[in-house]
Amino acid sequence: MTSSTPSRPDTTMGRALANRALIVADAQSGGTSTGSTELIDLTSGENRQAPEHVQQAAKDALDRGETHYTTRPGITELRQAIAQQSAAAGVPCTADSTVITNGGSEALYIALQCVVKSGDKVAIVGPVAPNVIQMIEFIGGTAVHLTGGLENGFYPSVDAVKGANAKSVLVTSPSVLTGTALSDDDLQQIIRASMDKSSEVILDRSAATCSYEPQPRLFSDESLGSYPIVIDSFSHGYGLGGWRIGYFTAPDHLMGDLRNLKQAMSICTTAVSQYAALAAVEGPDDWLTERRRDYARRRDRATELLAEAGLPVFESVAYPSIMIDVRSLDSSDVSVSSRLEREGVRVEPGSKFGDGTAGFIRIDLGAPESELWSGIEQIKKLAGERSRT
Amino acid sequence: MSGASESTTNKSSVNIFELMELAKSTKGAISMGLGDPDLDTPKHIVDAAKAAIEEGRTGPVPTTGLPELRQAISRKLKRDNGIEANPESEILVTTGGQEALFLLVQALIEPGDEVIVPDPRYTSYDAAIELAGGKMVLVPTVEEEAFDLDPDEVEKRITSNTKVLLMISPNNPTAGIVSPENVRRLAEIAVKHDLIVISDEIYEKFLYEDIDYLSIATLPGMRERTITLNGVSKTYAMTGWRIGYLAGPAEFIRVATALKQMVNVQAPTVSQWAAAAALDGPQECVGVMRDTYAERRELLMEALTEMGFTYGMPRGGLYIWANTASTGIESTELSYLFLKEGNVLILPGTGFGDHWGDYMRVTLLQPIEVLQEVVSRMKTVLENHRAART
Repeated sequence: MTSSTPSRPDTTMGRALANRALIVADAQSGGTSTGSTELIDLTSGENRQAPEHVQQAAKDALDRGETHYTTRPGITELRQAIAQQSAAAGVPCTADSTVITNGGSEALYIALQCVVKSGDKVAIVGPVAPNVIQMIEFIGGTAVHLTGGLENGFYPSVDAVKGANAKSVLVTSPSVLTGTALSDDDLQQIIRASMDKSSEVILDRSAATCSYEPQPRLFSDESLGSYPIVIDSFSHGYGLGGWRIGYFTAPDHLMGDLRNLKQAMSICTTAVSQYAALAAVEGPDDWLTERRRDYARRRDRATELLAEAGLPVFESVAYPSIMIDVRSLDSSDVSVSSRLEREGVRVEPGSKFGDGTAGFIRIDLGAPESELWSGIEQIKKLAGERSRT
Repeated sequence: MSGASESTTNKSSVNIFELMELAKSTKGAISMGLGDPDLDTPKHIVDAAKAAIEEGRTGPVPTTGLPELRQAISRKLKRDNGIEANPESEILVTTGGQEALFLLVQALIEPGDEVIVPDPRYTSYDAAIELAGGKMVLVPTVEEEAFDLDPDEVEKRITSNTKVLLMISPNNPTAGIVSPENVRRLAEIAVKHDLIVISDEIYEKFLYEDIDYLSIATLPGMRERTITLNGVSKTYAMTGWRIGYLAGPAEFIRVATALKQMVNVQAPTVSQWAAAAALDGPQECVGVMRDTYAERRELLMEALTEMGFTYGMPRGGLYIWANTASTGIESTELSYLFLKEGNVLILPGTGFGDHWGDYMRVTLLQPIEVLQEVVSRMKTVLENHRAART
């Protein structure tokens, strides 16, 4: 972020931007890393590198002169490959119903902007980062953030979602934050209830590739798969975070508005990133199998180490991040996070992602390995100090 | 922001992107649609991107942009435009110029705000302003004045709701330039009426007359009220890389950065390294491109005159805004006629405002031998049409 400049209501620009102060405050409290080299940062695994063949494909594309605008929805080969992969995952779609975006967040913003009308209630299913709520509020919607307890992997019950009586529903599963996923049965019930009310469903699957094992096929009832707008990203799974590449697939009746908004926002997605993503989808994927094994090893080791300090870890099954139960240390997860930061380790307090995850702290297992184990040692040390007092 | 997603559709009477997609699917069609330079990105820029990939410099960077790129932009603005912009607080790197305009409009405009927009216009501004709930107030620019922006016409349209004056110079689609004299008068008007100015300078490097280019942010009282929009897409033939930027007061950059973080986190890292190499590297390539476009412009001006078309003198940019009224055919219809019978796509004026049915946008963005073929096809279509009428 930029340095903090005092707002100047006496200037033209200050007055023009007076109503935007909240957006800035929210963004700053959103905790984007300021790049401090002193801290061990366990909040993000985005420094994963793309595999060699993906990097080579990007360089080859540059050598071929793929430096011009692509078509608005993205290169056909990539959309076809995604459509094929989506169909195999239980989301039937075609190249024509797929649009490549500058990262998963652009896809999510476009989807929300098109679906949410001013004053609409949007049910958010499961823990999400604050910027998702911020997006909905900026668009003019009202976010109804629903989380649940441990029994449902921090996701709310289907009845709670139905009871929110929202005009649209955003489901994030798997969760980058908790490493959990909504069950297929719950997802299907939520979609059926939304279909009954003709409300739209956005399913954010940005974390689906980055898992301990390939995610099971969605939608045992195949008729439901083409209903939601589905968001996905190449950031987490393929180590392409800095390349800004994601996509959405959507039902036909929404495609016109979605494409127009994408065009209004950024015309098309970065060409070289699209060719990198194409190589990522087309494989080979033995590196992914290897990486998945590595995530599982890290999870098991982290769980074991933290258990030694009496800190339970909620079972992470779908994304390499873990929620550590710190309620025995302090009634406030924020206070635990602050203490750790003073000791040189940055983690995220669970309460930042909704009520359901309060009392937990989150770490991303994709952090550089030496930092991961040093950071966990610090957490253990803190727990040890606490148990002695 | 109103959330009025139904208003995102381009309100000009034809969707030029649909036309371009139609041309793309037409076998053998020559597209003169996109504002995409046919020239390749210079090799030293591509090499910088490849080096970034090879050295693993591809990971996340701050939302405001790669520090090296922000410093390069700051140096460029000082060197080329005389604009002072602190790379730490007064510059935001965006995912192309399009996102820059989208973000700045969403940051500044609230329902009821009026934005003064020269007409005809690049209609992506329409979409962004409508989404924000703002109201466009159009200022006509005319062929006789080479589509310069008349300060008197601007001032007449200022009301208590006017918040922003938009200047695009050189202009898309008209190829007009706001003359230095008018830039000075517009600055005085902006100060007098306490307006914010958006100065879209994305075509600044392509000037075809001996003219001193003047960036409005450098004039007295303007730095604190001007947001300069630029990018590398046009100057260095880098449209596919998606790198633009905004320079303006720190308090504006803070808000735009927060929005940027919300909508897509950061511009792509590899592209940012390429853009830094473009701005910091040798600039001879830009002169070579300008000379190439100048040659094409001469060819097209002559050919358009032969076809009976007129135009305001195209003083800058990458287009000629041709008056096709002598054909007696409305421009959308003429565009389809050229595409169907001549297999060439020329965008109709209606893509740039719905009452510009007497104009078409002809681009300089094809090699000269292709432009010769385009001219030949256009002439044949017009001759056939005239023959059929007589």
